Amino acid sequence: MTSLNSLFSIARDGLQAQSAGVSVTGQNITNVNTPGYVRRGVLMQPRQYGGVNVTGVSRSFQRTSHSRLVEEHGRHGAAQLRASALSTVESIVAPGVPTIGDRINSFFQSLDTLSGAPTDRTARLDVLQRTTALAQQVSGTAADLSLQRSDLFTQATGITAEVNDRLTRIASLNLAIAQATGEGDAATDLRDTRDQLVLEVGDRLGARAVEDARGQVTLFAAGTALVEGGHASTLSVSLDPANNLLFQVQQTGGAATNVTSFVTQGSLGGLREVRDTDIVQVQTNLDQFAFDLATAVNGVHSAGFGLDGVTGRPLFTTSATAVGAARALTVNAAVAGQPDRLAAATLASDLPGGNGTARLLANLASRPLGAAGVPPTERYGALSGDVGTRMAVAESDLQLREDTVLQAANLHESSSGVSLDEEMINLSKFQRAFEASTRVLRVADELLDNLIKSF
Amino acid sequence: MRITNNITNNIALQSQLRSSQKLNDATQVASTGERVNAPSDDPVAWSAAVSHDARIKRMERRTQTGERAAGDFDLAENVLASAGDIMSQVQAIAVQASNDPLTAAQRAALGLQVSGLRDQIIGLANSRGASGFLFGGTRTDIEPFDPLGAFLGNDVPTNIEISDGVTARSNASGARAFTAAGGRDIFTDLQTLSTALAANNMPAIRTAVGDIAAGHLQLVNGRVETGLRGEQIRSAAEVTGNALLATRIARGNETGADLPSAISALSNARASYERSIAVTREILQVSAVQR
Repeated sequence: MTSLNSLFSIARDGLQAQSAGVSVTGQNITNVNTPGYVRRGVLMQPRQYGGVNVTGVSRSFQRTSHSRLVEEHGRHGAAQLRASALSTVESIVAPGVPTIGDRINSFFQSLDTLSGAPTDRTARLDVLQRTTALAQQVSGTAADLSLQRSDLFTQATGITAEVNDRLTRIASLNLAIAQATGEGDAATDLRDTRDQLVLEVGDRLGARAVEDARGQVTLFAAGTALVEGGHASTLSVSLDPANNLLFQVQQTGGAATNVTSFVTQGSLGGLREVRDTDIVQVQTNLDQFAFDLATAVNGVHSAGFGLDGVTGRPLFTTSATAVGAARALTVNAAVAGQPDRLAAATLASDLPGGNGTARLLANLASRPLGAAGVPPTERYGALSGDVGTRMAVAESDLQLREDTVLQAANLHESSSGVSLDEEMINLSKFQRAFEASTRVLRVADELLDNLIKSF
Repeated sequence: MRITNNITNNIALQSQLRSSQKLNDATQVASTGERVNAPSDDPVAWSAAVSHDARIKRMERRTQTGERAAGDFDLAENVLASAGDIMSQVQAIAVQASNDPLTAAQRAALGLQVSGLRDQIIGLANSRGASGFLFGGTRTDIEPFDPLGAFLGNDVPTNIEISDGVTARSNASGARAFTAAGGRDIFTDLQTLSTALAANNMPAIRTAVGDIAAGHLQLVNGRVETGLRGEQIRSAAEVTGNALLATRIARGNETGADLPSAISALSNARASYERSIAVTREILQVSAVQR
């Protein structure tokens, strides 16, 4: 049977419990925009003889939806970085004006003019200027692509450092959570921070986390376990002999393991794909194009005669093979600045008005270049079109990933996120209950007062 | 599904970003008039546009080079017409000298006149065009005929491409117009006539009459040939010009934006963007916080 004194206890419990409710609601409201914050709920239990007991604070976390979110972040991170980097590649290969295609057209246009006026010094100077402009643009494009690969390596180094920082913090938090759990603390704040860090690793590398009974997660990424309990492995990135990214995982006390082929997700996965697949292919195409162009032009030019009666001079200088040909493309130093050394005549006896070589050079504009079987400008069209296709596919993939990551985020948010509307209602609910508990206290006080006065 | 504020915000934010992107794309298409501004807009159309651009440039080059060569042929034709007129005068003098009862002094005077006319034709034969001396073959750097009428040039043709794989000669043949390569060495014949007139050598004068007539015919033939060559190049340039127009239209169809559609798309994108902002504002206002 309830005594008058216990009524005070009940009122006190009510006040304490509703205060806790208001406090947790306030915490939810305060953290509505905090990344990784999982909404809390106050856990109440009735006491055996009335009253209420606050048994703890719940955390509305669903590992399944969080795992999917991490997974989708990994895919989104890869798609986002690839699309962003390819956008830069596209602007390098196909800048507004002039493009390499425009330079090729100008080059052949100047040769055509030369074929109509082989002795015209202005026409010869024009050819040299346009040859230089073409070589510089091809070489500059190759240099920019190389620079972008360097920048992406620097970026990979930075992201890898971020990943390692998070791995270390996850391992530390694992230990702290296990200890707190052992002491009966739910460690909700620590779990929020840890799970947010898991998401951030997923964004950068792709990840999967498995939680054990003690609340610790084992983090799998890059084909291996990067965090196990309180131990974090170290991810490193360097360049292999072929100038491709080399990812290695160093586990405590173990040997470094090459995990490069497993780095396919997250921004590092996207970065690896664009740096070591997309850009390499564009560079290869550009090199082959530059090599074929130089070979074709030099073959004709070397057979012709300059106004000085000398033959055998190539117009371009480049590498001996296609590898690095674009970067190395320049105007032959023996011809640069020497318009009279441009070969326009096929035979020495045709000098100075012979235009056979100039015409053959100009005709290269419409002749198949190299094994590809299409003329030079069309080769550039195919090269830049390939970049465009890669970019279009990457953009389309990014759009898909934006949708799926939003869907996963909303699903996770649905179970774990804070709804201000709900919190407002909860706030009112706890406020009313607090007011009622106060009323109970007042009634108990009045009853006691009446009882005392009756004596 | 439980809807939280962040879900609403996320959806509103993504919707806003998409609308903004669409508006940006529509603005770019409408402002540039081009549907394809970068390879990724439409890789196939981009590659096709690059090919079209190359063809357009090739056609422009052919047209320019052809016009230049046709201009030189026009000039050469005029020069040969003038030379032909002078040869007509010489022919008249030769006939007069061979028939009329003239004195030796009068024939000597005619000889001097022929010598002067010969110098005039040499001057014409040394005319320059846009690409150097018109009648020197590939020796465009020096006068093709010296003061005595000796030919210093050659008969090497220069060719230009007038359509895919088709070339045409782009220089007039001074050798065939003025030298024995065409049948008669005109300047030698004129010198012979002049010498015969000076010497009052009637047999030589009568022989020269026929040679001068043949030379005149040679110049007329040269003029006709030159005119035909110029016409051939000009016709080819005209055909190329028509093809150029068609290619430009094809290029425009490939990558150009249909202006009414582009404006309509822009208008739609703007309306969509404004609606998106309005809806976002409305969504964010609906909350128990304000109640």
